Amino acid sequence: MNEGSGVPRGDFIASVLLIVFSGWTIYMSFTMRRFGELGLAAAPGLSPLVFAILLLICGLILFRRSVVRRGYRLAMSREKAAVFLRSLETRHFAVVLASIIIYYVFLGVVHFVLISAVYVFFTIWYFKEVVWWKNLLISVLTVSIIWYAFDQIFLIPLP
Amino acid sequence: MGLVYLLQETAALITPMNLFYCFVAVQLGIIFGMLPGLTATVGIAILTALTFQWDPGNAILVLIGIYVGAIYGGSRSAILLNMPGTPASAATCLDGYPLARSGQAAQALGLATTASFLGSMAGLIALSFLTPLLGSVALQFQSYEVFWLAVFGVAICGNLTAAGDPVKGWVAGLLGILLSFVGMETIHGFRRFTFGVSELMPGFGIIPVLVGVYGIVEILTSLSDTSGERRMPQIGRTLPQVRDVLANWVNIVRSGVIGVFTGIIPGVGENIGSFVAYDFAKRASKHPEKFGKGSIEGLIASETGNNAVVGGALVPVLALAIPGSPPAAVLLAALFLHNIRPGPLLVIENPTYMYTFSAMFLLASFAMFILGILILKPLLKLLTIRKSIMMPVIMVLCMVGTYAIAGRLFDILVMITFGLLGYPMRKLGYPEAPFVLGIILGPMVDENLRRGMLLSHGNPAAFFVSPISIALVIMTFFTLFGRTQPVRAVFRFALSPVRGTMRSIGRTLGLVRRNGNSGSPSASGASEPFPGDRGEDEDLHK
Repeated sequence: MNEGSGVPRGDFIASVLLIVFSGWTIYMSFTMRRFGELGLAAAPGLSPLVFAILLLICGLILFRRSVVRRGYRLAMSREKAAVFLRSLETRHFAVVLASIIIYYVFLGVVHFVLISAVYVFFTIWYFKEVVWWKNLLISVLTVSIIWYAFDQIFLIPLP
Repeated sequence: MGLVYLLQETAALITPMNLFYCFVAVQLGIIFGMLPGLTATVGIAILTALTFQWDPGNAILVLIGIYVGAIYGGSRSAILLNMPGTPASAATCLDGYPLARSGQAAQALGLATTASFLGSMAGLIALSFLTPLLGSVALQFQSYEVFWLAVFGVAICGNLTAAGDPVKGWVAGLLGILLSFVGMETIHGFRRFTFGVSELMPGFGIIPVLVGVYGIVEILTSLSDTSGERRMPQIGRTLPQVRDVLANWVNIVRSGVIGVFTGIIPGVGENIGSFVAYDFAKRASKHPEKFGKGSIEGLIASETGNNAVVGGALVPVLALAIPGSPPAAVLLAALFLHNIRPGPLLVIENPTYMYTFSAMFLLASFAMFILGILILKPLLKLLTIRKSIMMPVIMVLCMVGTYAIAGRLFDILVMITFGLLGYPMRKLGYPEAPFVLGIILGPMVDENLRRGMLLSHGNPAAFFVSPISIALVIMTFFTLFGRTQPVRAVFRFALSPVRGTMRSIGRTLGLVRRNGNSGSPSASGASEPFPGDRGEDEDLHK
């Protein structure tokens, strides 16, 4: 069988998480209520049990493979963590994710057009590729078109 | 008879309104396909949510149009920017971009359009005539067979979408199946893994999961990506060269057949279909050295292959309710959302629907060809839109689409959560397709496993009795363990008498070398030893 991709550390962490998750699912499956005389054979916990066992096997295969490839050497240090946290990709990811979460939190609280336009404006502004007035125009126009098309024409309720 | 039904349904479908919807949808699909980061799957997922409240006929026509258009549209950015708009067009980059760089961008675009259309026609033939055949076989399926079919679908999908590391594909599929168990189950009405959260009782909606796993992950990936954007070359007139098309008819037929059969295999998809067709074209070509440097044969093979997969992938959707590709998985979800129940019972409940569906596909294919040839230059301006502008707008559409399904903010939370789960999965090489397939097929697996156990009074042996079950178990076994050393050794051992007999026949006919003397040049192919003749026997002895 193939020895896998070149991320042994990632595989190691993922395999540990999979083993924990599948172990927890197996426990939960056993504790689920059983109906009728067939017991576990037709209980709601049967399918989760079967597939959690299969996931556990896959997790163990991944674990063994990552250990053989020394994936357990996580080699974490302050310097590496600082480099990772300061990298442009991490920063972009954090900002984009945070803006999505804030957008979600305010959906339904603030009017859809306003919060959506603010979200679009902020994201474009963060990447600094358009002058502010063009950004404002793009944000307000696109969100208004979306709102008009779905809320007014297709009659789809918006948050 | 099938042809008559197809023509009848096509004629019934040709109304001004349907044509309008179809052309708009295909054009939208082309735009989705040509914009890097927006795949056919993302397009169908978003549009499924947005067309949820439409009449089912129009909604499905729009979604098929998006699918056909997006798979074709990916070729444009592949040829002009060396950036496949969809994964399906990755093989098109290999020869399309070198052709564009050598000043033949227009010719390459014209050929890609024609090849895509011809590939779609191959897919249409499969869709119209293989679906009823497969559907009649599917009628014999009971709980045991349906259970194994779903397991086989997830297994093969995991195997093929993570070809370099199948374990990750299976992990993704199993995770999808397990997450589909959240909520109230269908047999006893028992709440599983809900932890008292009432919103989790119906389980995770397919659309929030799909939009999260594909849409949110794509937004996060595109906006985090720090690599620069590229400039587009100038192009001239795009008319297909009839001479080039005619000179490649064998290549087109071969790639179409490969595409169709790749599509029928559950969960495989257009990207694999196009590469397989490309590989076969290269092996069969008189000029394999030109492949990767601007070969017209290569371009035609990949584009015919990926569009033929579309039709092929829809065959198991209708006949078995098992998707042949990731976009087909979303389309399957859309059919269920619109109360159309594909699968074995479709032949009984709605016998002509497969022809209606094929007619929609035919209409979309023609729309793709016409739009592909006529409207090109204005659309190419869209490729210059920066992703930092496009992605936030897509995010707003994802929010709207997900919320529109049930009017619940909780679904948006599910979408974001699955996006956060999908992001590291993609980074670590876990494919999305088996995960989504697991979510879709999970309830089917659960219901049929437990119903089968109830019917057999708790005897699991009932799952291994019928010939269809046995065939599916064997296929699943070889999908999972076929590449392991012990299974290969046993397989070789079992086949050794057959190989010996074939070798004897070959020697009798003078086709195989004896004592190291080569055969005649005319029989060069046949004069090679039979596969595994020597090396494999040596392995066995070891």
